[in-house]
Amino acid sequence: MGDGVAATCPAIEVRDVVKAFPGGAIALDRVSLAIRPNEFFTLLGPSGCGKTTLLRLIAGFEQPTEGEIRLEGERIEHLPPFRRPVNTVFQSYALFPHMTVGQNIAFGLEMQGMTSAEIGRRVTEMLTLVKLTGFEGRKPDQMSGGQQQRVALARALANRPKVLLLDEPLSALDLKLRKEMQIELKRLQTETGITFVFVTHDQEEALTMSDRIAVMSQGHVLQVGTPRAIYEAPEHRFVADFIGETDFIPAEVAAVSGGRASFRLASGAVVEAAAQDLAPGARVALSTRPERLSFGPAGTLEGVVDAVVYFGTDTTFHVALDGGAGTIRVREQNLAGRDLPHGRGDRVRVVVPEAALRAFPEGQD
Amino acid sequence: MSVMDYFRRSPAARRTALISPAVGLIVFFMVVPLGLMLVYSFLQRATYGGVIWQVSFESYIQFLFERDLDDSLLFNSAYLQIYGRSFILAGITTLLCVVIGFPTALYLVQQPERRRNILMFLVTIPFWTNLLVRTYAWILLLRREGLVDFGLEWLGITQEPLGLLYSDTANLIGLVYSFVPFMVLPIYSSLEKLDFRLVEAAYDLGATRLTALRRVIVPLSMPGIAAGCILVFVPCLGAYVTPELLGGGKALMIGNLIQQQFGASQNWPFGAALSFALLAIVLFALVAYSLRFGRGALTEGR
Repeated sequence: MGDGVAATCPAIEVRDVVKAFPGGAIALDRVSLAIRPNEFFTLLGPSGCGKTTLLRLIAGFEQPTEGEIRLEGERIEHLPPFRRPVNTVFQSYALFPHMTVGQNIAFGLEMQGMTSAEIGRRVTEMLTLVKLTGFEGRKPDQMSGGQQQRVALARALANRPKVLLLDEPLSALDLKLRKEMQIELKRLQTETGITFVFVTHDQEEALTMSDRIAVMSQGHVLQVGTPRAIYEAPEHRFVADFIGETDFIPAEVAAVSGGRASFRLASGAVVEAAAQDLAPGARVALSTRPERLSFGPAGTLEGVVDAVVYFGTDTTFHVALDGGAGTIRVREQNLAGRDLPHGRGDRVRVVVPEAALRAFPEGQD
Repeated sequence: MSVMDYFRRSPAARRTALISPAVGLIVFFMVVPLGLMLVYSFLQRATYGGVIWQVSFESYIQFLFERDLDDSLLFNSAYLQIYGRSFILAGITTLLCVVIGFPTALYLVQQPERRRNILMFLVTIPFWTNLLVRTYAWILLLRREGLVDFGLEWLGITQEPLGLLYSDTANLIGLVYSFVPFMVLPIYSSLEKLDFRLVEAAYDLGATRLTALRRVIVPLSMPGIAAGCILVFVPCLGAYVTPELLGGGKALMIGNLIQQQFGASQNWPFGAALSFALLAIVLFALVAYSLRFGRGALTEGR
């Protein structure tokens, strides 16, 4: 196999993978994914969506019921975890409590049969990488959560895996530390050039760190794309709902013409948006994002301000649309020296740019 | 001020009051009898059992020496040999119990909750019957042409009866049988606390099953193994019923020796001295253990 072929080969390829647990629960239902080399790839979804199961299948802790998993083109689903060139950072860190930091990091290297001189050098190098120089003699329980996290990273990276798997590694940290570690992880990924597969239920974490995201729900991958594509062009109602703040307004397709459609709301108001595969008369849910909407006399949607929520950087207005068409949120930035534009009970008009709306067929979950 | 008020105001008094029944029980049923034995061990024997109230170190001298005709002391290793035998037998028993008990405990903790409870129940079933009854059952199994001989011959493994009964082998089988649960339970409790994600982490870093066992599971369950060893080794040293019935009382262990002194030999002070020699050795072992595994290791089973 030439270099050219290897370069285009996905780091990890998951093809038609099914994972059924004894008792009949189906954790993964025909999942297919291709993760590119050197990519920061995130599996995002609520708990129970199958993201951790998928990670465990790649690590080798579980075997798929059906389907194949390839690493750089080679099938690995039959290999035990200790024969796979992938390493895992566990949610709970899983540091060996009876070993020092140095011994923890050295563990994988010893398994590879490295000489002790090489191991010593690599351990020092890893500690420098995660900024824990001088900590090799400590026991894990003498360290803070953030430090343990770094040790877990160093231990997993020491073996120079082809792919690093991270199972919600930041969920146990407080907000400030989590933000720091997000940047740290991104730096490590860039410096080492290793493919990262990151599992999280935190959409913000996914958006800020990932090159690409796979949004999962109930054992299915709903959409794979860049953070921008996932946020701005959700292909599925669930994706739109799960990522960012979203309101849904029920509507009916009034007319369709060449990739566009007009929609009639319960109030009788008509809005337009891009749409595909919709027939006139079909019931849809229109999604809007608070920051894409604004107030203005030219607004197509009319309603009454129901609540005003102040956030510091901006303010969110909850607007109850006329005719019981639903409630949408509108966010305005709090500019210096400007009063809040509206108060509770004000009648307002909401401007809806065409690109701010997406239509999802009714019944999609 | 009523008595109740006094207890209500003074936590120290309350603690003392609450702990006193337990302390009383221990003093009355353990410290007093043991003290009595200690005193007996420094007295003179009476001809037909009992003691003469006269201070004497004869019993402890008798443990190591015998008196020649001219009253000079000659070193006598006979009793030390019995102690040595007991230590070797107890050691082998402990080792076999670890070999059997550790995999059993490891298997138990990996079972689903329901089955685990049933299996744990099975492990404790022997405690429901008297040791004597169970040991007699082993006589039936091990005797010449008994069930074990019959089974082995039927399977074609042996051609003639082994006649295991009344041998060290029979003794060992009986000891291992009766002490295995004491090994399984503490190991089980320390393995139960083991986070099996650590084992996954070891696999993930390239450890085979055997390496993960050696480098992660065994070190982390060491306190349980050590506690199990003590729970087996110490009572095994003083085992009486099993060597008496299965070993045929031919090859003496410490327990039988002590019993003899209080029984047939009618030498109570010597029996008491033998008991205290054993107690001293056991205490030494326990102190060594807690020094090795830290304070509280014994009670917490960490």
